[in-house]
Amino acid sequence: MPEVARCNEEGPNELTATICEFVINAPEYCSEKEIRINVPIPLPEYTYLEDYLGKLRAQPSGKFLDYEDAKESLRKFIYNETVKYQNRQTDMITEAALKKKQEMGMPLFQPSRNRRLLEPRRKPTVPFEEKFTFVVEQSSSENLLTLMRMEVFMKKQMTDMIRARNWEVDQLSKQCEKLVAETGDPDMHPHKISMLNEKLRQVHTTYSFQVADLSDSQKAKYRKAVDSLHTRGSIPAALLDDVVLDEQAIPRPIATTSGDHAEGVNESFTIYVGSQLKSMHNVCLVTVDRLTDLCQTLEGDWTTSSRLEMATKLFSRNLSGTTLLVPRDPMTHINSSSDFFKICEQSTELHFDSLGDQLKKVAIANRARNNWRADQIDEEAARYVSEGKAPPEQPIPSSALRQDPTCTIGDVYITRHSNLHKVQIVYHLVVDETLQSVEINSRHPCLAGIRNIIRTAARYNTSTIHIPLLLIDRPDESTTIAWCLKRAEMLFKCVKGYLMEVCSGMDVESLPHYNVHFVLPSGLSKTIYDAIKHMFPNIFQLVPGVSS
Amino acid sequence: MGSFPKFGAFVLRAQEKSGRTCINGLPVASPSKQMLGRFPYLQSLRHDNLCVYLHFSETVIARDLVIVVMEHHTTTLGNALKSGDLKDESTKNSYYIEISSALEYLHRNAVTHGFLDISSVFVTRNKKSTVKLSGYGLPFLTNHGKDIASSLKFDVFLAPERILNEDESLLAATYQSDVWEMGFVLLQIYLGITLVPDVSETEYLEILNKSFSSPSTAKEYSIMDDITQLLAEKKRLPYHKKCDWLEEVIRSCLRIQCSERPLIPEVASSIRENTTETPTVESKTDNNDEYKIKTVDEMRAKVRENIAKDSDGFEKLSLENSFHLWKTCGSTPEIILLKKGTIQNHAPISSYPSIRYDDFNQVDPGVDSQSTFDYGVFELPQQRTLERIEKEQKVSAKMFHKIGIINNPDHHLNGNILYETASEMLTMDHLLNATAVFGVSSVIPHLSKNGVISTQRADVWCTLLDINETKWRDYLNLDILAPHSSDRQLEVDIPRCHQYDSFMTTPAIQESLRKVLKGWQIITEADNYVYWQGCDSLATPFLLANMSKPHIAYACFKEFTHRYCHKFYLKDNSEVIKEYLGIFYHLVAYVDPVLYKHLKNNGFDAELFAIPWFLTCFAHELPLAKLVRLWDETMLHGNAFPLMIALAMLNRLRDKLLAVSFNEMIIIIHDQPDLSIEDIIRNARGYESLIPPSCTFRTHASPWKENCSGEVFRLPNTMTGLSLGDLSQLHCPRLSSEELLWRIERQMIYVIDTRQESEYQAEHFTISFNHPNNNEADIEWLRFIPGIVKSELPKCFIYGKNDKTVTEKLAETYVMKGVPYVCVLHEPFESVKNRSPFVIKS
Repeated sequence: MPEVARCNEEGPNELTATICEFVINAPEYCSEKEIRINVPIPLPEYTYLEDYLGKLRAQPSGKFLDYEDAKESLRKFIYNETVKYQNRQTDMITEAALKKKQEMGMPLFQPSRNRRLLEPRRKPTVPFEEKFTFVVEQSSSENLLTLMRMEVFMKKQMTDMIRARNWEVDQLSKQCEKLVAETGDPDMHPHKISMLNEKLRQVHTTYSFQVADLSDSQKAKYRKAVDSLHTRGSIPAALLDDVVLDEQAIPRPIATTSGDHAEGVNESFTIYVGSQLKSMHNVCLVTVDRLTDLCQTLEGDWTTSSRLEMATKLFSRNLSGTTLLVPRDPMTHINSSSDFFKICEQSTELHFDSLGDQLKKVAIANRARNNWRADQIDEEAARYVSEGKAPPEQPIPSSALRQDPTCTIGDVYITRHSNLHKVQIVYHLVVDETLQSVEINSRHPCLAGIRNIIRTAARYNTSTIHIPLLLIDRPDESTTIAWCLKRAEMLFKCVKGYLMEVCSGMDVESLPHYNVHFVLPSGLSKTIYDAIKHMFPNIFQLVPGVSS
Repeated sequence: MGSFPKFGAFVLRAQEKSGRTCINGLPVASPSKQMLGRFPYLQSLRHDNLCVYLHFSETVIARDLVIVVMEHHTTTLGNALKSGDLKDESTKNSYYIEISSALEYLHRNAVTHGFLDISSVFVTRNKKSTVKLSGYGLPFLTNHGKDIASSLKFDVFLAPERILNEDESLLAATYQSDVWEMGFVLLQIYLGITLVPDVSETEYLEILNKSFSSPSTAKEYSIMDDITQLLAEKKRLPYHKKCDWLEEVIRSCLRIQCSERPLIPEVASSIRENTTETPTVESKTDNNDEYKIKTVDEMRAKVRENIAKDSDGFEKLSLENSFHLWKTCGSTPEIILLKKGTIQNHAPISSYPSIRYDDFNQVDPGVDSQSTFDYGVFELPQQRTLERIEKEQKVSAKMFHKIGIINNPDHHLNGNILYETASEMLTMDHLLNATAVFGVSSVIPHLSKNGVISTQRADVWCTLLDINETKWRDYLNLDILAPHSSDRQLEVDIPRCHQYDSFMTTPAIQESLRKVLKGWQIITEADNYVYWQGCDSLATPFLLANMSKPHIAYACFKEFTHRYCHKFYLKDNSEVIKEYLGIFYHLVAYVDPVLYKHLKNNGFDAELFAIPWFLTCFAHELPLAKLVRLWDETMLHGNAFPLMIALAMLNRLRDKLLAVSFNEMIIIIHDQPDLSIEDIIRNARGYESLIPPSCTFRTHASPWKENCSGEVFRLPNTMTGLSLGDLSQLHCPRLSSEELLWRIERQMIYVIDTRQESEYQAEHFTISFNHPNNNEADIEWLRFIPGIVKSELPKCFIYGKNDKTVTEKLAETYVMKGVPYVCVLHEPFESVKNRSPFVIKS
């Protein structure tokens, strides 16, 4: 049965797949003389010879063909046509490359660095994080304790300085206020007031230099100490000179006053996620006054043991993260000295960039992203124009977007910290005021933001995360019972879905386990807390016997 | 201990995709998942001169790395050439044949090698020297490099079009670039040397530059003579026996224009024609002759020979099985590569991105990956494996022959799990091969005792389901590619099917599942079958067992549903399902009347929970790892076994269910996560032996009957089905007359006769008791029957032709009073045929 092959190249662009017609002679007793099918060359991914053979056999006379013979003919046909296709493509690419290189006057073939480009090897110098990990794992407990005491002492230094500054600023502001109050008219003593203001500015500047100096020197000292522990196994005495190693000076952990959070719900559940293969997770409902409370180090939190805990977790595969709700401009933290900023400045960030520097990087990344988006808008507009249509109206013109370093609602920017309480990662979810009162659906950008938080957490081994259940920091008059329940239900359901997503496609042995904390603001009515607590088991599947 | 194979691992970095969601809201398959899906096809390629691909895994710790494991050997062709070992003309000839035929095989299977050079060709020296190609198919695996972010180190003598194409992916290999690269391998064998360092990369590129730039060069210009000339100029051209035909072949392979090069099949056949030796035939019989031997005597002779040689027996294991053994020694390739420092891990916090937006996009290009790795193939250590093997006993072939002539109690392999497993694998192989002669029933005792090893599951299932060409022929003649009415539903269901399983998230496997389901539908449409949600879950295990053979998965799926989910997928299946559920509840009443009463009183019907159980044979309810164990067992049993499993599933929740009412029941019934599948299997087996087989009678039961269980399962059955109304009126199962007589003969039943005393006196079964008052269930009377309280034998109520209703009511009352093992005869006493040997007449 000799077969004939005909090939129709579709269109002038040879790079697209071609449709080739395979023709095979039918056995003589069939009414049809030939059986023909179209085969795309190259075969589309995930289709195989057998599939086209099935197609051939499904033709009216196809079942009379000898299976193996037909298979061999079709195989040869596809192979030969694919070789031809590949050759055409190779020729085209080769010619283009030759032309390009000839135009540029380059030799056609030259040793290429590209071809030698292999997986980047580890950097020859050991990075600080590895030294630190080594030190934490290998040092004697004595050395480690000394290092932690250094941290405690440094924190005290910094806190004292900040406190002094705050006191001075406070005094000046009070004077200012007093002056204004006395006269009742701010325009009366412009000279005095501007003097005070000038003084205030000076205090700020002086202190900011001092703080920067102190933090630089602390960082340098700390790094030296770790370096020396890494290489020599001891800390040079010079670094410890001014460190007060007096036991008395080291704060003792203070028993947490349970009265603070007696209000609201504080309960934990163990849940299953998934329909067939179930993974187990812990979920807590917690109530706090402000979201920043979750990462705030209180007096007495900063002990050698809490520092040691941070040291062991910092570069581990078991990170903790919390979520803050922030406005669009990442620099707001610095510019209007947010609560979070105030928490961060209490001690030197010894491992990562300072908050300010990290936020600057976020702003740069934002600009790149906004540029990219502007490019897309321009491209789309150009496409519309080329098709003779009016480009769609954009909320922000692309030119304005290019200048914009701020985030969009639903974006998440991330900062890393070694000087917070129990968390290393902070997710800053960008929100606006409307979130305080509107009803949202599952396609709201902020929920996409929550999803990104969970996906990022999963990708970077962050097993403990805090999520504001109502997506608000503090309740106000619009926080009604109905609103709260609706919002809570939405968050519960979405987070459940997101958890399922990050747990899928895993091997049974490597199923992840997450601790998710849903954070509620204090000051809601007991009815709301109770209703939310009762809603939980209706949405999540509790592990029987573990949760009550 | 030479025969345990070596395994080599290499690492690739998968591209990370930032945009991660499809239109349907599900995550996009990541490039590493896409590769995972393609891998089974590569793994299915088998040729004597190809190293076998064994394992592909995404790393757990650094999720963008993937590890590939394949058969490994110590000596590369490059090593052999350098050491000057390769002088013998006949060895060279066989190498030409082997290399070209291996490539021909790859091309026949639509796979390009893409990585062919003298360092990716291994030389093995078992009985005679052969070559094995390795590292093939990477263009296929990585979608021409689009799915990987790491580069690969290629040989110097890459085809010119691939060098020019460097802006594109480096893996832009084609069938014809394989020809070029094979030309260089052949050339180096022919000359008996490695070209590097005598021909440097710069010199090679110069030659290419020269031949491409000069306008006078013809398209069919070959660079072979440039190479030999260069060597001659350097006085490095070694002595080699001139061979004109071969030079011509190599010359044609090295033509600069790819379309001028011959095709691989042409090269292979011209090599075959010109070499007189036929080593392929010989080498083919090397490994597999074990099972090709036909007679028992020959088999015995072979076993004796093996024992005499005292070889260790591992050579008989397939590579998959050997790798399975390697894995049972407690390590994974990932852990080993981490320990050896081949993969270096970094703290996740150091690579945290600074911003995430939209669909998981990020902008930081400089963010490091969490891990780095070394390039190359690393031999996986096997010392641990081998030590474990050798610790307790000396290795000998005897240990692997548990069946047949060797039955020496001294050779208990107690305690050494590795030996047990290895021996198990071989025994199973033998038994599976023997089923052609001894029938399927010959493997069943062994399987029910030892279970199934995952590497053999596909074969075991095919054997148990009696899969052969006739069962998949239809599928091969279908136009699977044409649109079909079910396409849209499949589009929705398949991406959601068993999504926790890695393979099920890959496009390749999803596409295969689509084909299997579509094929099944096109074929069964004529029988009024339709696709129901759940079909996808049911077909999945068969596909995962036969990933590169959808037609076999289809055949298994069809046969399995024919046996265990008979008619469930009819367009109108309500009658079938209702009958099934009705019978199920009768069996609950039979084994656990207390629970039955509780369920009934609360109105907790089987419809509320058991439909997905039966419709998908638990595939919708259980994770795959547990499901396949359950199915291993199911396939050893008759078509009523899913009912037994359901009883076992219900039983494990018994105490919880009894303690609560309707609302909580719904929640409890779906709580199966920490279910022990071994317990379920044990209990299901128990129920099977406890429940009289005819009690499971269904009008719509599968005509297929297994014939390996006891005699009682094979009795004829004259029962007829009940209407659904009658079925729901009944509160216990019905027993067939045939089974009644069979049991009376063996005194394995309590017969309780409810007819009037006069009728009873006139004629009654030998071991029957006459129930005193049919309007009252008298527990005290029942307890009086000797041995009945502790007995697990059925209590069958029989009745005269006028007493049917009242007897059924009586049986119900006993059930509701908590009496277990109650059933009624399916027909009145008078209708029981052939009863005369078992009755006493007054």
